[in-house]
Amino acid sequence: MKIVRVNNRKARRRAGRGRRRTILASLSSAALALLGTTTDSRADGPVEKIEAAYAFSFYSEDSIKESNTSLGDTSRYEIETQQVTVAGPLTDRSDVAFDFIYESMSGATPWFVEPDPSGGQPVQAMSGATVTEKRYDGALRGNYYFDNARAGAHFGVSGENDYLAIYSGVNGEYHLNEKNTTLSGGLSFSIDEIKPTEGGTDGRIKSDEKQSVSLNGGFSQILDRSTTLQTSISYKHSTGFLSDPYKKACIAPNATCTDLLVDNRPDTRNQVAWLTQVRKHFEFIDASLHANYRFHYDDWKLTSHTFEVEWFQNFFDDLVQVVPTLRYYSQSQAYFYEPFYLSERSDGLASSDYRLSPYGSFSFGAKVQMRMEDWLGSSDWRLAINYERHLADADFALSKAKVKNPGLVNFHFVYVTADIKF
Amino acid sequence: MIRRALILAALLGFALSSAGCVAVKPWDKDLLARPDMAWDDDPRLATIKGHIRFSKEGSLSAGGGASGGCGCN
Repeated sequence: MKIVRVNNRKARRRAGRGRRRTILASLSSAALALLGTTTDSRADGPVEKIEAAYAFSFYSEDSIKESNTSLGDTSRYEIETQQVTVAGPLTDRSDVAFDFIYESMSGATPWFVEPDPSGGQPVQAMSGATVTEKRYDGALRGNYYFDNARAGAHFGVSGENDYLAIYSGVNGEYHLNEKNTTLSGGLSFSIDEIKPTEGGTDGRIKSDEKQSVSLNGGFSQILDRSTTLQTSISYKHSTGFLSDPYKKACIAPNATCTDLLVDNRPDTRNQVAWLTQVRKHFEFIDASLHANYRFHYDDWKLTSHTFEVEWFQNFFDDLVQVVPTLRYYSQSQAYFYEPFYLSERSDGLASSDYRLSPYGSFSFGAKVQMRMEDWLGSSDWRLAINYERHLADADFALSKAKVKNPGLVNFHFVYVTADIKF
Repeated sequence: MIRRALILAALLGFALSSAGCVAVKPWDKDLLARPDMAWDDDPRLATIKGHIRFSKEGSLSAGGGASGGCGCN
């Protein structure tokens, strides 16, 4: 939930009347509020008002083309998500928030890839039956604020009928250099248990576990009066069952699938991501630029680059914002991935999952939001609607991919939200 | 790949070293305090987008934190 402790339109009007000194404290506090970690951008003081927010989103994947399919249903996944957040002050130095997510999912999903008998090109076999699934996720977050620092912790549980994850973590930040520099760090872990539907049949596991530990550290620096930069490194170590129990890989020595292996990935994974973000405000056109770059590498040899740009254009004295967004993503393949295999690998690994294939994607869209302050009994409101289109293709990758995975996904995403601060 | 990362690191180091002597005073931070200058403008949107990307891409999600969900389908 966004925490901004100053009414900016009012603040600017006051500043214009020469009453700058009276708002210094709240301005500096609010400025530094925005210098949080990558996982928590809260203020350097606790929430002052009770805050409630609701969001609904709809995610819809395009149907897979008939020509790319060998088996199963061509309609793909749809997800409806509802999110609720409630936050409030606990003491004059601490606050607490509760986030709840409910997701309802349905559709057919990729099962395995096999060569097309006519030309040997890979085609996707989809799951025969429509999968229906629900996910519940509840998380409690809390923060304690010192004069120049913040310490936070969170605990959450996510449950599906075949999957349970318990996660927790701590994070913090420390301000220095007249609060122009902020150091941040965090440690979190997750313990997950999977019990696949129809486990124990057709080579599918009955149940298994995985654990992961994540570490991140970074710093943000104010570069000038209208520019700030943040850079952070995240490391994640995962161990246990890291395969997908619902997928298989095809052995096709002569352009014909002769055997199906269960998806089998290494039982450890070490991932590193380096994220750098810049925010720049252009006062003469009342707009802000957000630019992010992320580099990712892991010991499955999967490298990726992500570039994201958002332009926040304000209208009517900041009452309305229009935010066009463009994101480009490109990844290389995991070392053991193949669309299908000519023979079984000596290490026994096998996966034809499109997520591990080489490809690139473009996401583009826009958000329109309204902020109304001192509205309906002096409460502050934010209403927003967001649309995004996502297109993925092997030809969009930075490095040319040998073969396109037929399961790559295109989707539409719509999100609407309302935030109220009482 | 590594070369690109090194070039970026050098550029970043240069940007930060040139910024090291800059200290913006509290009374000059009004633009930095604007809602549209936040690192994370809409945490719920960031959460759900992060979950989609965790489920559909091969990389570590943006925040790097461990969080729930299978993302198998």
